[in-house]
Amino acid sequence: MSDVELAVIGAGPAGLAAAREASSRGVAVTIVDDNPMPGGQYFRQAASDSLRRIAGNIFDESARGASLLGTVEHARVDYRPDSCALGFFESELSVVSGGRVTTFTPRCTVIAAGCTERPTPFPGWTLPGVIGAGSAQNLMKSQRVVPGKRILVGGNGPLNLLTASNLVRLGATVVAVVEAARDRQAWGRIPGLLIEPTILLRGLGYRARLMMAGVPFHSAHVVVEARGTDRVEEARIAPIGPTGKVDFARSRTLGVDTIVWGFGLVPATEKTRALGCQHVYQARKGGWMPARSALMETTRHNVFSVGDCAGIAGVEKALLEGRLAGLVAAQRLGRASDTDARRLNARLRARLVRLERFRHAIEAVYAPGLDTLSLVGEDTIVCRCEDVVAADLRAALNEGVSEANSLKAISRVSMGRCQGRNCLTTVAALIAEARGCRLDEVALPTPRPPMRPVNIGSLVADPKI
Amino acid sequence: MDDGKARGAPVRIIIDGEPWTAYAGETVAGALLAGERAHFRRTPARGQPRGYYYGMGVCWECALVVDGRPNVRACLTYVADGMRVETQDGDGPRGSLE
Repeated sequence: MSDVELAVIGAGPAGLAAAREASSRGVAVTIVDDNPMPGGQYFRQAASDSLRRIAGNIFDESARGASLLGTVEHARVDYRPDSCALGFFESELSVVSGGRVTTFTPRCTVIAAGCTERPTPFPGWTLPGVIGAGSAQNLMKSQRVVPGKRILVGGNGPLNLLTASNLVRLGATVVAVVEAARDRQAWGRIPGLLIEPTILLRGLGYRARLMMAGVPFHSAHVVVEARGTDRVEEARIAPIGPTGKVDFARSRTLGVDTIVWGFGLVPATEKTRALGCQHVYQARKGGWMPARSALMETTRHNVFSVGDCAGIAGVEKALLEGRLAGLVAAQRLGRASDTDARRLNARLRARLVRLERFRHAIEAVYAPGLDTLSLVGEDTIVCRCEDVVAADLRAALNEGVSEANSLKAISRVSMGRCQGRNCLTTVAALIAEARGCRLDEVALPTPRPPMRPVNIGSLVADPKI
Repeated sequence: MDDGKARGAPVRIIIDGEPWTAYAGETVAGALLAGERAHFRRTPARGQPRGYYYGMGVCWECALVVDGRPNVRACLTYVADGMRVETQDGDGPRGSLE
């Protein structure tokens, strides 16, 4: 067991910003991250020097973030890549790296665990060739690989636009972009969008690039089926009516080999949930997220949560929140003077308020206006690990099962190795549908250690697990 | 996007018995997808085809057999000379969760 001043979970934008702020003030920081290189998803680096030179001008995020990425080289930073936080035991944090478990007792903890893609099932979504939008981004950034020859980008949210634009820039044929939100929703939001002209221009640039490449853009449409034998061969798309109903009768079929599918992101809350922090539900920010003070502190003393794991809001917000938490942690550890901290704190928070107003406009522009459960057919797989289909879950719910833990026991839903990350949001929606209640009234199962599947050999040395 | 050579040093791997050229720094998933192979495994429960999906180590959809070990995530595993990659059927040859 070893004492550390500040443990940072996650080496993405928020975690690195926290680590940099704290270490620059003299705090000894341990960063735990499950990737081989720092940067998280946004600053994801090419996996080799040769790959970095391919299309380096397109994927310049990691170059722009170079000084932040350099945080891991700092003398006071103990950076642990390929490591994963397994669990929390009172004030101890267990981390597995290189097949060995280490236990820390951090005085302050910053959780910057990021997010996962919102699993949004539709018939055929498990076919090879249907991949997540973030995952397509990852493939392009780290491998400089495009996932197919004829690609449809579908779903909801700004990430799809960026992904489609990048696919075009790398030379892929994007057959269509299919967006659930209605284009005209943007008009009334222009004042809000103009708060951050740089971010707005970036977004318009993606759209312009798609137009110039002649990519058809279908607003208020959604993918209703993927068809194929051993991989995607066709995508069926349909318009969404003004009341949010999918007009299946007016569907049409496009020949594609890949569907890049993204329907927003979900904060990764398993760590704050395992720590017993209180959570609040905000649909527009991705669902459940830890309740926090203005200082980014959760309901547990000296445990902070920053970036997308505390509400989906993009990289700029993640950087600011990380910095703020790093500053507050330094102050708690006696490494920042109160006046100094107060001044910077006020500046960071003013900037966060502005970003939040911009974000509010973006959320309104992309409000999908569609109940995604209407895409789920009886035979649609909900739990990808255990191949549990919607009909099995709906039948159990009709027989009176009313909460996630019992549903797990009956159907094996969420009991596979993804530990529910592929299905729990859908399970919650099905429960809410059956009970006629709101999503925030459905409790999710408590995550238990190990929070990631781990080789049993790594655990036998640690009697606590 | 590129002519192959620019990708770096070639790495010889074997996929389902066939020789395959990958490049240093590629993951098994990257190498397969660059070669237009999307089908990585069949599920234990219903024998359905699956492939690369979320690409960050959490979804396990890309799990396949590497050098005889089943349930290796293609999205996290880097190619190495002589590596044998096989598509996985169900729980794989030993049925163990690595």
